[in-house]
Amino acid sequence: MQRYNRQEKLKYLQGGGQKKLFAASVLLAGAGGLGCSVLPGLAGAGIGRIGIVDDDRITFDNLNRQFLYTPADVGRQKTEAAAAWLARFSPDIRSEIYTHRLTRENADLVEDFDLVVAAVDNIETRQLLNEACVRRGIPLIDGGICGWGGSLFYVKPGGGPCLACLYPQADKTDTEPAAFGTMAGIIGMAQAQMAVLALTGHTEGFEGKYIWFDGVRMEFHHTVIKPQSGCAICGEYAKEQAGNV
Amino acid sequence: MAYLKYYGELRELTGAEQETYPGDDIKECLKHIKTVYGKEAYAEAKRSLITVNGKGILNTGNYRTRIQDQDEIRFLPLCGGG
Repeated sequence: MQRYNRQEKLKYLQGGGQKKLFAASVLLAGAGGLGCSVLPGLAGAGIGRIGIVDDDRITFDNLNRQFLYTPADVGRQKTEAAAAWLARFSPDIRSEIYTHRLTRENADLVEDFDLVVAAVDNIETRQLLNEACVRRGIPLIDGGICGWGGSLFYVKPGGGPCLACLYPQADKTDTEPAAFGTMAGIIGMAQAQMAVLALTGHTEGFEGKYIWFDGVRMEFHHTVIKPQSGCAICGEYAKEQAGNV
Repeated sequence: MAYLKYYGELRELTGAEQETYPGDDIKECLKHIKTVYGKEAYAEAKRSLITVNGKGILNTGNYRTRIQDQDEIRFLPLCGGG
């Protein structure tokens, strides 16, 4: 398609890579600060089907970083506004919205997608997505922002490490942490980048790699972590898979 | 001596990117941070991703992970916002 001419020259998108993206489906969990940057990244790349789940409504103080929304959207459901933006930006992309909170009971929603991007604002929902994805063998890309910093982590299906290895003491998250637009943009777009690489089969650069971005010094740091021995999530999944062999 | 490396908010709270530390275990290291830099720095350090020579402490004994000469202990922030 002419829309993607410029990117089809890229390694990994040549020779069918772009078609892979259009045949793929991604569930975007969260249409807030991160989600409003993930979504344009996924849409621009040409992901063919995008699900958006969020139960929030847009408030005025979202507008410093939730770039898809305008003052006229205040009060509107984020899923609806995000889907409306997507329909205008790229009518060829199919979208589905889920205007509810993710819970253990409805997390099987992830089964309908090839990959999940966690763009949520609390650790509890991250852990819920982690468990739902690990148990079903679905890749998960987590991102987070905290002031002038941000993080990325890819959960590879089938062996960890997973988010439970990373956030073992899943305490309550600060409900109103500081949040800045460019930080949300950098991390959200990086999540979309990871999604593209994962969907085209190129995750060798970031499996198990916890990446942290310092937005003041403009530095990326990383450490590669191993699955926590005895992890209740990825350890159990690995055991089940071994039992099935 | 081992090396403690701080990132993000912990750098601001300690006023340092790195410092040397005589070494014993992570629990004592955290106590050191609390004593020298206060409760807020301690809380920030404790909720970080703590690695020793690149390995997360969850696999090496958690807070009982021993610290030896020339070890590099990093405190990377875990970000929950979105």
